[in-house]
Amino acid sequence: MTGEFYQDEMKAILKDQGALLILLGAIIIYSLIYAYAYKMEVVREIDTVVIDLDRSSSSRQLVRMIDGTEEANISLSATSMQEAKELFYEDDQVGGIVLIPSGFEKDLLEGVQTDVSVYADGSYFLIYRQLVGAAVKSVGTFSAGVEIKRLMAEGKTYEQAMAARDPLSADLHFWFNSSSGYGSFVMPGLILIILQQTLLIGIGMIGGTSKEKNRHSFQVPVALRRGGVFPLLLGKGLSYLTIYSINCVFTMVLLHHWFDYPNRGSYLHVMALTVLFLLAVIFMGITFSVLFKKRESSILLMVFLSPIVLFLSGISWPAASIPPFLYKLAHVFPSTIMVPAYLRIRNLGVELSSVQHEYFLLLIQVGFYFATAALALYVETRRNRKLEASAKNTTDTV
Amino acid sequence: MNQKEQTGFFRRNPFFRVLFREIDRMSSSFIYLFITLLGPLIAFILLLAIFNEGVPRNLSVALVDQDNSALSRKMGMWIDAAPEAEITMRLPNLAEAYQRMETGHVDAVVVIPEETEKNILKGVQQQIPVFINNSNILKGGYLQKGIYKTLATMSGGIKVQVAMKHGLSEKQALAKAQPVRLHQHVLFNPFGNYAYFLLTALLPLMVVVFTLLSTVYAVGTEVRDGTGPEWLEHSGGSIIVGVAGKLLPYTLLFSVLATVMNVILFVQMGTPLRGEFMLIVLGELLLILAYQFLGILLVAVTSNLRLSLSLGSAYSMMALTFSGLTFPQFAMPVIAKAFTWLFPFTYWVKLFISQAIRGEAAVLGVRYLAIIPLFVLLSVALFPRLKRILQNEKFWGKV
Repeated sequence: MTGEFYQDEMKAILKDQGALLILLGAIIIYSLIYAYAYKMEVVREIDTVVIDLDRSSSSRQLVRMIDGTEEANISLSATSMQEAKELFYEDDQVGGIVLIPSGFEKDLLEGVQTDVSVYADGSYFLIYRQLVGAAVKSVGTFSAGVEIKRLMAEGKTYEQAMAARDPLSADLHFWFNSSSGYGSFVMPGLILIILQQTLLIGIGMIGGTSKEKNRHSFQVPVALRRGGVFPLLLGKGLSYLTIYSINCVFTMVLLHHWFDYPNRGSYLHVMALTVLFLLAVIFMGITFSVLFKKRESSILLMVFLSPIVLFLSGISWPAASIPPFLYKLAHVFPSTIMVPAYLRIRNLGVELSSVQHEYFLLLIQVGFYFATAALALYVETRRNRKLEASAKNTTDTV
Repeated sequence: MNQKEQTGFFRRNPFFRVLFREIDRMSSSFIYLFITLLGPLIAFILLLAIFNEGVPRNLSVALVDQDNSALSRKMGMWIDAAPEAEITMRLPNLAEAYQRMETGHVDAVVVIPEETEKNILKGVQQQIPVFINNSNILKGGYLQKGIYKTLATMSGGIKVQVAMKHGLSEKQALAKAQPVRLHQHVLFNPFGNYAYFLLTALLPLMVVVFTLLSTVYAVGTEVRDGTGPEWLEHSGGSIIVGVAGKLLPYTLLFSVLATVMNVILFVQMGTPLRGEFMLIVLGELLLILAYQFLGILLVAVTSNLRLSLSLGSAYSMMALTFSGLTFPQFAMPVIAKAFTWLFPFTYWVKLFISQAIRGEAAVLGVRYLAIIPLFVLLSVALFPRLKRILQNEKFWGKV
């Protein structure tokens, strides 16, 4: 029986252009468009205005150092803050201003502390971060150079000078995505959210259509037999699993390969987790699909949740900073459990044992939604039988 | 038409006839209530709740203290005191700490090697290895900032102490410790925090999503159900009057929503308002109108409710990415860059930044404002096609 229901559901999906667009087209189009927009990964060479009030060889050296960083590009110069701000407003591409005060070199030679200022555009977060990073790096290096020269002039060796300059030095190592690529950061998790949301909406759409067309009538006799609802549920579930296996290969294998997204884990582990995730989403989708009376209801009621579910999964905003009650509530969505575990496998390359907590949670979720989906289908087929019976009665009397 | 209905201005005027017809339709089903009121409010509440904390605080750090000295304990305390970081576990070695990172329990590891204190006292430079999980660049960035600053402050403190021991004044010692100081100024950053920054885009995005979907639904159902002729009959055969009467209730509802949003943004969150508030309000009205008319355009082009809804949701959601707020426009590849101008939302974000956050001259804001009506015109050009679809039976019933 499962086979027949499988074929039936597959036919219903494949014949339905609208559902196909969501279940197969959307994931491919969405993921390609997003991946393309983030293709450059990092913001490089941000146009920067320099106000060099000192015009000395030291100040020029500092300007060259800032210009030499990957993040900043000193493209304009101004003689006053007023002029620099005008340049900034005129040109959309200018991300910030660097100000070197007059007397800069003199202070350096006299051993007086001198201040360099960076004004970075805070209205765009990434621009701000990159530009301040570039300024911190260059000014830090420049300042260190000055200090070491001074210390060596006092007769210290280079090593002694280094130690005296920075007795306690942070030796920073970035593990995983060390270049802070935006696409590598956001895409792997975003793909999971797109998979989940299109699947939920698509299943809801097929469910709504069945209800509009009363397509279920032939399922009634089987589904209402003892245990008969399970072949129906499995048949439906497997058909979505088939389609989403294709989607997963496209997004999790091909797209990762094309755009060079992190891929440290083994595909076996990825698969073990993904199958559970898909099953949980599918059974959740089937559970909710009986609530939709019309085929467009699922879109109207669920689309707006996508960005919210995304942030609830902890992809960018740390889960620990989400109010605990809301984060617990978010566990109704498989993505909340799946995303952190999946990202650790793909980014850190961990073994399944390191995600066992999430693995068990997903298992529980699959079991729970399997039960609710079976119940939902049973209740619905009973209602369909009643509808059918009353329809028969009216035709009989007519 | 019934003679009785023809009494009174409101019942005779085509515009009001369409308007009242629409209000009747809206009150007939839960879906309308959801997409105009409940949905947007739920979205607002959830988003505000998620980002309630403003800045990520106390991200988990593991400390591997192999020195066990007064200095290393102090270092641990200082890192723990940094707002970004919290030492959640102390472990004997890096391998174990790495395991905790693999299971997702810590985001960074700080290792204080043996003899750290001894080396410092001897005047030998001591490296403090810090390992940060940067797969989430937002968390990684905050952790880097917090830990680096703490260690640099400690290092600077040690230097100043040493210099003062050698008889320098505090000022001289400071100048010696750091010849060039960098002052970081944030231009226009109202909050310095990522959450508020995101909310100023996410709340209007929700307005846009629901505006577009509700328009597509309101117009698309007429095509699906074949009620187009009845609609046009109410408007006296004019598609312009028909559209105007139909859209007005939604325009009003979403303007109210935009007002709620303004109260949240400017009163509750304290977003600065440095430019012309009227331009922002006008921008919001135009934004709502633009997305309403784009909804009509979608139905006119596809003549299919569900396809319009699918395309509409994709189009409205993508506006966030292509507004350039999260990942800047100029860093996108050429085609994506061109693509960004196809979303009214992009102009709105620019207007908002220009007038609310930067406080630029009004003229600069008007630049962006002036483009939004073009989307309305584009849609009006398709009105004749919409009328044909509404009247022609072969377009109906598509689901």
